[in-house]
Amino acid sequence: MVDFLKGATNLLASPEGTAVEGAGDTRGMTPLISHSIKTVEGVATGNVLLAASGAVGVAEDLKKNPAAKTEYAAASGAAKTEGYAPILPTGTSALDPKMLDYEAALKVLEANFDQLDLADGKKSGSLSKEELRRAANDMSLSPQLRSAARFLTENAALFERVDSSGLLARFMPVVGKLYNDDRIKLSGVRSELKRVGEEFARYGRPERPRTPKPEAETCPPSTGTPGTRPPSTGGPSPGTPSPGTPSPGPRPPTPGTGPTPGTGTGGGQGPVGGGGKPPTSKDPDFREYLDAVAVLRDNWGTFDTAAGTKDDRVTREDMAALLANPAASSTLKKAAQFFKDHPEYFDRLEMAAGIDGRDGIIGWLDVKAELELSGGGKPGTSPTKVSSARSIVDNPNMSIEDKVQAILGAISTETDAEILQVMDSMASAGEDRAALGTSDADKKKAATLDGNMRELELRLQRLLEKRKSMFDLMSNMSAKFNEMAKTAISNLRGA
Amino acid sequence: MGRVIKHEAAVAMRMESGAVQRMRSFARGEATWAEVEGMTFEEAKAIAQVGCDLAAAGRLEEARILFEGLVVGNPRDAGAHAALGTVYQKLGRLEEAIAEYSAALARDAGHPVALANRGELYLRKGERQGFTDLSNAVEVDPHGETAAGRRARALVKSITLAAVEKLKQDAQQP
Repeated sequence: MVDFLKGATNLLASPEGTAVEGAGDTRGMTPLISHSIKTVEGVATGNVLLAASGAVGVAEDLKKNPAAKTEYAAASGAAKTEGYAPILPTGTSALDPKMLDYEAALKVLEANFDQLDLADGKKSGSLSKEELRRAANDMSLSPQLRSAARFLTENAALFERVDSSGLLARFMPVVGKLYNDDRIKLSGVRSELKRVGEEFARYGRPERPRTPKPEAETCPPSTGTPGTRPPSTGGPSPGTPSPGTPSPGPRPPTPGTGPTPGTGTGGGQGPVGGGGKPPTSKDPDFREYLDAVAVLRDNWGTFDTAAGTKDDRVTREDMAALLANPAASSTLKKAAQFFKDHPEYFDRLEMAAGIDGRDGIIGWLDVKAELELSGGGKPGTSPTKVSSARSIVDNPNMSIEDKVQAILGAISTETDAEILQVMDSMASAGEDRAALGTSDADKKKAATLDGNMRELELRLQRLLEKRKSMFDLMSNMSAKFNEMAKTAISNLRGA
Repeated sequence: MGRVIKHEAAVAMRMESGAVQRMRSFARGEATWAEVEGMTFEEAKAIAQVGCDLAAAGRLEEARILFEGLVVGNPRDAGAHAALGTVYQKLGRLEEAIAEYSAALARDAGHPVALANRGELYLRKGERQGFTDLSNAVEVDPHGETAAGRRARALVKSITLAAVEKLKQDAQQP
């Protein structure tokens, strides 16, 4: 069976290679064989029996492992799945799209770790949450870096993931607890980047959700119509900020206006979070979260005392007590249910102000800080609209006819504001078009502007149609209500 | 009803366009047939296990068909190449076996099964490259996780012992 070994031995111990020392080097053999030869030679010269017993053992090994045994040994690492379809179809992934931002943030942090580490004047080899928070607000840093730091401070769960990531944590989860010291180390960032890459390879790379263009919704109103949307894009504010206004009032854009100078909402056009907006606003539940926080703010006292004591703090017990309370309104219950169903958002809120870490207690400052950071306190956005519609519906002094009319009236007011906005955009596009010359670049711009103008015209047409149908509806309803009333009166008269 | 049909048609068209896209990638050499067909690594591994069982039961022709299919499906799979090589080797098609091992090593230079078996075949042919392959196989599989790795280790030991014996004899002869 092993006859070929004789030939092999001759190859190995041919006359010109009697010097064993030269065997490994001159014939391209690896040091392993050369070393084995030397070792065994030493043993063999000293004890022939030992060498013989070794040979017997080897023969047994060869018998146990026959030649060409068919086995399938896949390549190691990510290469093993190369050429095969991912577990999920292309374009779908079990992973949260936020992981893309997370990966981008980690890459930026890895590349600039030393810079961030030295930001406080000393090199400690790690970054704390506080340091990251400072970096997020440090206007001297690049927008990408600020966005990356902000991303990690705003996503507590992901911060914890990097925090407990280390060389051994992947193999021994218990060791991860040792790494968890609320400080990020470079090794942790690198290890986490590798892990994220592996997750992408295994579960597919998530795709960013397609969000509708926000320009139409967030354009700053130029007419100053009361009740219209305030600027929310983080750009220079054309309106007058009203710092003294309480929370329901219009809120100016954050940069440079609050007590924390340059909180950076208008800062980063970096890879993380899509620039000036809060990165987590891409979460599908984020809007609902902001609604829930707004409800919490507006009904702070009710939430606070839900569990029986007024201590100016809201805990999970308060939420549970509110849910169990049959007298609580559906709006409050909805908000409480949201926090119950989304513990990650509860954690986020309780750590919004950065006080006391993760202690399960939401303070008033947390709510305030969260609404300021995420822009959830801005009036004119959907929560306020919803609440104004709700206030009409819930108003006990209005008849059903009045309620319908009031709601239609509110909608038509919004349509009017939108029409004005579109007309304003058309006017500015027309002005821009008129200012263009005849160069190639200008022609290109003109073509783009023409396209925009057509879109605006279509939108205007649609809005006008909507307005007309609204008036028709209101008019018809008025006539019907009138007719009904008249019929009722005549019936009463006849009775 | 009409709407439902329309919706289904749209979905079918989307699916069709996805398949066309994958076919185009395959034609350009960017995707494998396994990717076009949606075969995952786990599925391939299950098929390979069946092939190994067939080969162990002596049903080599059937095992060959399975592994040839796997190799065609994903030529980038070094494991499938190496497994096919072992089947060819057992069938006595040694040149094809060496070609498959070499293909496996082209994709994964440290594949223990390909290294060990090709090393042994080279030694049978009297080629010195066999030593290098065998010793590399021992290096990449130091704990003998694969049968090929364990065999490579035994072969290296055996050759070493025999070589030492021969050297001793040569030294004793005048």
